[in-house]
Amino acid sequence: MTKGDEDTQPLILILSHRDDSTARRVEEQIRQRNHHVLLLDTADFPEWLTLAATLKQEHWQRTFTSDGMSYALSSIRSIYVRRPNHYQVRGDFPETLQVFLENEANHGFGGILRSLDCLWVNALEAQRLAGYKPRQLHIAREVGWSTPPTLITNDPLAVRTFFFEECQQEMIFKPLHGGFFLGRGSSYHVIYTSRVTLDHLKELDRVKGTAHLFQRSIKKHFEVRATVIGQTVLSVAIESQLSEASSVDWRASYKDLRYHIYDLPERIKEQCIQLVQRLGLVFGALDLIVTPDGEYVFLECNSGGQWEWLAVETNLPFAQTLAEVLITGKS
Amino acid sequence: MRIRALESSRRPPVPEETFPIPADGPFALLFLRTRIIGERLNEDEEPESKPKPKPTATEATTTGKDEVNPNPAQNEEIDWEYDD
Repeated sequence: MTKGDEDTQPLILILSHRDDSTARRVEEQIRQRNHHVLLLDTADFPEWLTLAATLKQEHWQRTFTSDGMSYALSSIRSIYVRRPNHYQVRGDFPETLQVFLENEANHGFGGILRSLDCLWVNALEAQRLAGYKPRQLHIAREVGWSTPPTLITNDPLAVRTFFFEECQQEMIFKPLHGGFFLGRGSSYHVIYTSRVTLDHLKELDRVKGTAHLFQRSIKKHFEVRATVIGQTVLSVAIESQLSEASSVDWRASYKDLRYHIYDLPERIKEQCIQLVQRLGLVFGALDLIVTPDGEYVFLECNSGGQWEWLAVETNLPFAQTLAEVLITGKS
Repeated sequence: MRIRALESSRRPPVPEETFPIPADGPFALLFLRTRIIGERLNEDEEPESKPKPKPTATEATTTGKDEVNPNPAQNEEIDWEYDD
């Protein structure tokens, strides 16, 4: 490609920030297979990205220019959404205008991207919808998963009843969404999945303050992170029960975790793929419990879940599989 | 200028100061913990009765010991927005 030329060879677009080592792994795999790939951060628009899209007859004729290179948007075969930042309009504007201008950028550049007939991993709207845990659990049950008995409520009495009658005092609380708040410097606040004790019940009236999700605590033999990429399931056993610190929520203490490649039964693999597809996704990282009785219990699906650290631990071909799916442009 | 995730209007703003954990907020806040990125839990939190696990690749090669390499575990913390 040369400056100003439109390139008509298939292009794979990775949306992420430049320091994203995970995105770089996929980029490298695509390049090794001699396909064109471009890592793009939407925050570069409009300052460093130029878009020209003209509607003629029934087709958009569109190009965009990045770092002096011009690309035909119609050449994009697939888009991998990793960790892009929001469109950034630079200038000293009041916040209201700033938001308006950035939304214009989103609806312009983002709107054009959405009009492309290509594979998205994952489609943004599907990803957003997939983030709702109640919906995940509902669909999981529909495709045959075992799920923990679950209560979502702001009613203290409902929690008390659930705690004693459904959970026999073995209950956990987990946030419905997020639970991670950056602080200043390197500090942050976080809410992990946590065990609810009798002491906590003294504060039950505070449940009225917002929606809360409670589940019966499921006995764990070990846990599995099953990453679905198209029709492939890469699964890793996470030994989380070696330490109290990681036993309820393994994210709370990575140093206590041990990993090994784990081959799920075919039926469970199928259920993983079915769930991800029903959520409208191509990629999904599922958190599962394997009970001492060998039962597989679905906890949640992370539509943008991390996988790089598991690639380091196990050498499973996460980046390679993603590259193959993106190159074929089919899920 | 504040940078936020793509179309993530839901993302809470980054506070200017570390905020105190409210004493009487909703029940969920009972479980709020303050941590430092890359911190290691106090060894006292490990029960003595259990064997100390062997180091893994993540710990040996990327966790807080080589600033050149990205730290996947920390990356996961920072990217929480998309991973829950």
